[in-house]
Amino acid sequence: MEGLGRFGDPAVLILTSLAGGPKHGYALIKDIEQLAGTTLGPGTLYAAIGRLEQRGLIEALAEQDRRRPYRITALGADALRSYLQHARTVTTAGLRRLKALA
Amino acid sequence: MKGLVKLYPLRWRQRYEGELRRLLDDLQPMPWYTRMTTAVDLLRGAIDAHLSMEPTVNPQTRAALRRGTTVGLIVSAVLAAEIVLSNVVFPSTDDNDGLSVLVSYLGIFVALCYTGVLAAKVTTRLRDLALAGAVAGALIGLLAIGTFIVVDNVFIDIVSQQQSKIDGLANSGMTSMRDYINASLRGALIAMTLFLAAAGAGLATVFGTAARHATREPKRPTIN
Repeated sequence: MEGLGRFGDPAVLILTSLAGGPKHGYALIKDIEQLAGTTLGPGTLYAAIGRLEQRGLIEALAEQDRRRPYRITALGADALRSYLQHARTVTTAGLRRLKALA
Repeated sequence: MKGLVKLYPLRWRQRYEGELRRLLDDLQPMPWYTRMTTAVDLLRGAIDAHLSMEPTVNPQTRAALRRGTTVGLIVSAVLAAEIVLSNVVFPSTDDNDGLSVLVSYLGIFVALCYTGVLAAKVTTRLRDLALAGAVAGALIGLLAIGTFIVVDNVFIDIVSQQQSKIDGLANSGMTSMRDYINASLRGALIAMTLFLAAAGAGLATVFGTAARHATREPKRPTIN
């Protein structure tokens, strides 16, 4: 998620949510609340959506009743997979070190 | 709150305004504290959209503007808390707020000087220092008077007991305290925003330049 600045974390949450299927803004906020216990504000959500769309990591689908769903692209799925694998490596190492510390 | 969407750049709104407005509809009803945090989130998003959607802005200018915006928002938040505390939570009916006003102005000017120092770390251009200071000053003026407009209107029963307001209303020739307060604050909104933007531009330029000179490496002696 390089180059996304402070929108890196919201971007990961959005990609993770969209990995479960296309969603519009409100559905994304609710899904991320359930998924991570974090409530994204509408300004933060759309700042991250704009960046993800610009980088081709997500794409917009046809608008339905002023709600526009988004879906993750193949590029987005690759970026998310690579990020999560890296995070898993760090998490595993961190937990192992903490276990040794205790 | 939907009015804040108008603060986004036109190009951004052409693409996302409809769906963002729909999202704000979907999120209703909101408790007052969620409305406040959502408003701040939208304001931040609008600033970000302006900074990120303008490809012609030099990266140094953009970085300096971000620092100016951050300082402006932090100082505004502190001032908003001070305004609410001194006018609503611990209201006073006499005119003994001279010291707190003086401290507030001093704090604002120090913050504007510091904006220049922060901006000098990311830009070498004088114009960027001035812009960062102007943005910080304008935000502080706009949001501080904006806070007064909200506080004075929402808690008019409390603030209308202040002696300065009673005297001001008597001298204004108006009959309504709300009209008097709003007329005063409308003028202050423009005057304070312009004044602090100008002060910010000047102070940030002077102190940013001084900081740059102070941190410049001393010339190495040459051996002939």
